[in-house]
Amino acid sequence: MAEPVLEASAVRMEYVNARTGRSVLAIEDLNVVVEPEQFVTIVGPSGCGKSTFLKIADGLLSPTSGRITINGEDVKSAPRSRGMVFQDASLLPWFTVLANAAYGLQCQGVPREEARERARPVLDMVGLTGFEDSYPHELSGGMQQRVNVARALAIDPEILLMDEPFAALDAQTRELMQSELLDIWQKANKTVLFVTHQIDEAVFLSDRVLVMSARPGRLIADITVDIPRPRDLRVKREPKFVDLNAQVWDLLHAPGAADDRPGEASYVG
Amino acid sequence: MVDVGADETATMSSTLEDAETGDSQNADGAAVRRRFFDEQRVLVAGSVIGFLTLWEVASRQGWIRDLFFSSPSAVFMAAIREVQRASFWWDFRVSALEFTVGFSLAIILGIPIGLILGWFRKLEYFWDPWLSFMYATPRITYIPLLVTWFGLGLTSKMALVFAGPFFTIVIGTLEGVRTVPSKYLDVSRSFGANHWQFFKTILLPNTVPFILASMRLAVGIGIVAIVLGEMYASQAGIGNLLMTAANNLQADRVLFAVLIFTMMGVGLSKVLQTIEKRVAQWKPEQGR
Repeated sequence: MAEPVLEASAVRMEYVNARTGRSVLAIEDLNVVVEPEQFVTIVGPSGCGKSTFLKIADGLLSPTSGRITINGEDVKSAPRSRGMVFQDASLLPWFTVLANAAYGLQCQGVPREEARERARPVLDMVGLTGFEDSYPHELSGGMQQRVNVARALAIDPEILLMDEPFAALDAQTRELMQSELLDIWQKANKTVLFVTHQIDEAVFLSDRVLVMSARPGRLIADITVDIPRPRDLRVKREPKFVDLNAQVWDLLHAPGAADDRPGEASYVG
Repeated sequence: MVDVGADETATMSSTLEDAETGDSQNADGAAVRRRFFDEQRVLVAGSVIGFLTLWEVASRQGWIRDLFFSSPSAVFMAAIREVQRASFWWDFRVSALEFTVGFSLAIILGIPIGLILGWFRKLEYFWDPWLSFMYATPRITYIPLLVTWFGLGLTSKMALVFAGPFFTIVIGTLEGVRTVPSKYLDVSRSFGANHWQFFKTILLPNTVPFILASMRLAVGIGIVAIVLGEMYASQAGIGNLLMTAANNLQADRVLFAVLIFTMMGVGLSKVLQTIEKRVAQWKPEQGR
């Protein structure tokens, strides 16, 4: 088996709520392995710590204990080997679409003009040719998310970290973006770690679905989605897809999954 | 997706614009070319021409006392006389110099101090009582002290023009830094931006509209400082001219001096407005 791209071992996250002063256990003993070119999704109820986990994987937060490595290197020390796609597009409103897409490259020290030249084909890949000189506020929510994806892809990362990127979109745009994301993923040969609370989104996109319990976040299942690719949206009507959806739904609604007390031990199914 | 900062600035600057210049364009300003004689223009012109005519007639007919109220034609004649006198240009240069030096110092010191205090919370906590104190005190009350310290010459007025705008600019800049959305911080950290890149690509673009809006506010404050400083204690300047004229009951010269200050305020705020528009190209149309 190939070396995993991302490996999280015994990640635990505890923080003190600033208002109540109480200590909150957000993530408890999380172990995740993502293989090269896999599309892995973490699904869980809101507040289960899945976004927190992604921020730890991006090096934006430090875990209380445990570590996350990308290609064997600690995320804190490694060079920028991951590209984050943020929940709300978080585009810089004072930059054009092209400048936003080139932003990651520029942060890495690529000269401005070169960064923009390298960002152009990526914008083309996400279907934004012709919008290079627009400002973010001139784009629809779906288009803004495309720029968000392009910005992360442009730095050619080892792994794309995606934090509920379609949560704010309307249902139709979301489905369109899901199927386009799969196209892009196949064209770009990227490894993806995707976080969502939407079960059907998780099943449709992924090779593996990791199911997390409510706080404190623990892994309660690791489900392989053996629906053949390429998948189009009609897959969502197939019995296998419906079954997998139901399976994840049951896991999320099982007693214990929504348990708010700290569990004694976590198990991975 | 509109960030709060942009919104606030826009409100701030548009209120300011309305207050200072009475300029109220419609939201369609750019999109629809206005007919030459539309309702708005007719009303604006009618208001101005009507008032001036009434004033002139009232003065000529003796309904109001010319000595106290003057008349548009008398003010115009006074202007013609004044601009031909060397002493007027000397006064003008004195006022302009006082304003330029004091205001430039306020900008040069105010912006970096605002940036630093906005970024380093602890420094801000430490300086906050003094900033709030100075900001809340009417700066005009320093005039007697400033005159004692710096004398009747230009320096005391420069200090006064500095004192007002300085605190306004510091607080405006500080506010801009504080409103940098944390999501942009996450973006820059996620992509590995260094401090300088963060400053250049996020902190500064977010803060510049705040700085410009505070500068527009500061222009008004600076002009008030000049007028009062020169009226209270000076040997030259347009404020001095105003005071002398008032003491000699020359209403036309008084009004001419008032007009100079008005034009100064309108002109400077127009310049800043133009810069603001150029800088804020990325902003959504704000409906003004």
